[in-house]
Amino acid sequence: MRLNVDLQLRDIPGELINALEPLSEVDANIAGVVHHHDWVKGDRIGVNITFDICNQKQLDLLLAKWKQCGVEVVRMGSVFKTYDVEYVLVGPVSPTILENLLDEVKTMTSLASVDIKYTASQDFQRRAAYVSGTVLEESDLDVIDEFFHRRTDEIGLLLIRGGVGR
Amino acid sequence: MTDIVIAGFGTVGQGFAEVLAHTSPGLREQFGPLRLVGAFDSRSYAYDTNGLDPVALLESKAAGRVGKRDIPGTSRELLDEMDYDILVEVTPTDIGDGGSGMGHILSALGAGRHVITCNKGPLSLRFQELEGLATRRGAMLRFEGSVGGAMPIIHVAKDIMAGEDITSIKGILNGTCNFILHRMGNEGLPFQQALREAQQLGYAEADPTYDIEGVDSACKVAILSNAIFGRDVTVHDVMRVGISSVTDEAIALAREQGQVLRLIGEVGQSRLEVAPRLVPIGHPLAIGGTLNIAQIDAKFSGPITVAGRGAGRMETASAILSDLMTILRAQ
Ligand SMILES: NC(=O)c1ccc[n+]([C@@H]2O[C@H](COP(=O)([O-])OP(=O)(O)OC[C@H]3O[C@@H](n4cnc5c(N)ncnc54)[C@H](OP(=O)(O)O)[C@@H]3O)[C@@H](O)[C@H]2O)c1
Repeated sequence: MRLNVDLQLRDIPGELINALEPLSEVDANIAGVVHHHDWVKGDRIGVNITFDICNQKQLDLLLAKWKQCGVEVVRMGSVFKTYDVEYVLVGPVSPTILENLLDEVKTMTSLASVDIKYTASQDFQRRAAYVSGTVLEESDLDVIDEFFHRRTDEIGLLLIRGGVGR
Repeated sequence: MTDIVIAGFGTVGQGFAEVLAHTSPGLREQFGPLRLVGAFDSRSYAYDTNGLDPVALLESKAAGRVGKRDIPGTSRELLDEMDYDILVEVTPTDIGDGGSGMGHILSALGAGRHVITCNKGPLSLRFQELEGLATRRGAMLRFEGSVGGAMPIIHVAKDIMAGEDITSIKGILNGTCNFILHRMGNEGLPFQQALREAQQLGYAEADPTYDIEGVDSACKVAILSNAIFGRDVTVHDVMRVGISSVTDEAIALAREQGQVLRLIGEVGQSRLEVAPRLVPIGHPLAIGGTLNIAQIDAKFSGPITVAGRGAGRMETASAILSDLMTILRAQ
């Protein structure tokens, strides 16, 4: 799971290492560290850390280690990892057709955001639409691919998928 | 002494004859003489167990036919009668039943002779059967030039990355389609105009169907799937979409989003397909021109990219030479 925490550390040399060491001790993977020099509270400064950790047991161990070395956790929240989907549809594609397709996608997947752009051609066959979005579940990538394949085939549109760099 | 027969004396066959005429002294010292003992095209043949002069055959073919004698009966029957060590099979690709190349390869492997081929027909139709026959007869079947010409993908994936857990291969496996999509993207040309340009430059055939409808790429995807992933598929199992319906508007829209369109062949855990895909500008597979390129993804190494000229007389002959070296080293 990916978590994001705000920590309060004593403003003395070596404190950041003190806070990061327990993360490696519990095999957590650090995705980002941001210093917040404007969060000064007495002799303490703020640091925001994003990390991946395998399970609740390891997380409990981490919290205990932080407590032991005087690192104060002031906020902790989950970060949702998202997966990008991207398509170009070519042929007689209209906003109504596309919205209907996306409504269907929303009912069957974790589609969280979507953005659509159209070309303005009067020539239906040359027209194209670009659809980009994010899903919360990796397994939905294949579900959406399969859905778009089937439905664009039925409608007579050419489907061009992204995901080459995935 | 290694005796070689070339079946098919067109672009690639002649390129390989030229290679044989210019083999380095070092190579002869290491492996002994390489002797061309037979060659045939669709009508004529030359055969001499004392060896033929490759240059003389090239001159003869330039004048119309590779040999003085007409092929009696079928070319397979002719091959059955020949005595040689290695067959270089470079007759035209036929994805109906494998064409005459299928018979040539079956004849050679059946007699325990090694085969080097660039012919995609037999490999994309009956791969495992041919590999099985080769193994049973103690012969080697090599086919580097069949996928991507001079691009050394089979050798890299099969030999150099041996032991790796290869998870997918994605690539641009047809230079003609890449040239067309590149010209459409860079110059805003409509498909038909980019195709005409490719034909004028000699990159596309007069009948370009085989390339632009993705059949050529699908053959290569099937070969990669069989050879690298050990599956038993044919070209007809590959989900295939060509590039003839790609419009200039689609390409312009993709470009606004920082992407180009490329015809990508993909072999993955659950995928076997050829289709136009969006590729981010700057990604290795966004390459332009007529080059072939493939990205092999594996568990330990991560992505490894290989590229090279996908076709051409000497480029493909170079792939045959590399297969020849593999066979000679193994002896
Ligand atoms: N060209 C490339 O760059 C390239 C790259 C990779 C793979 N390949 C593959 O390599 C193979 C050869 O390609 P190519 O470009 O050299 O083709 P090509 O120029 O058309 O030559 C084919 C040759 O095969 C001969 N032939 C046709 N039917 C025959 C038969 N039944 N028996 C014996 N010979 C026969 C032809 O005879 P005639 O001369 O009498 O017509 C010709 O000499 C094809 O399978 C192709 O897909 C080619």
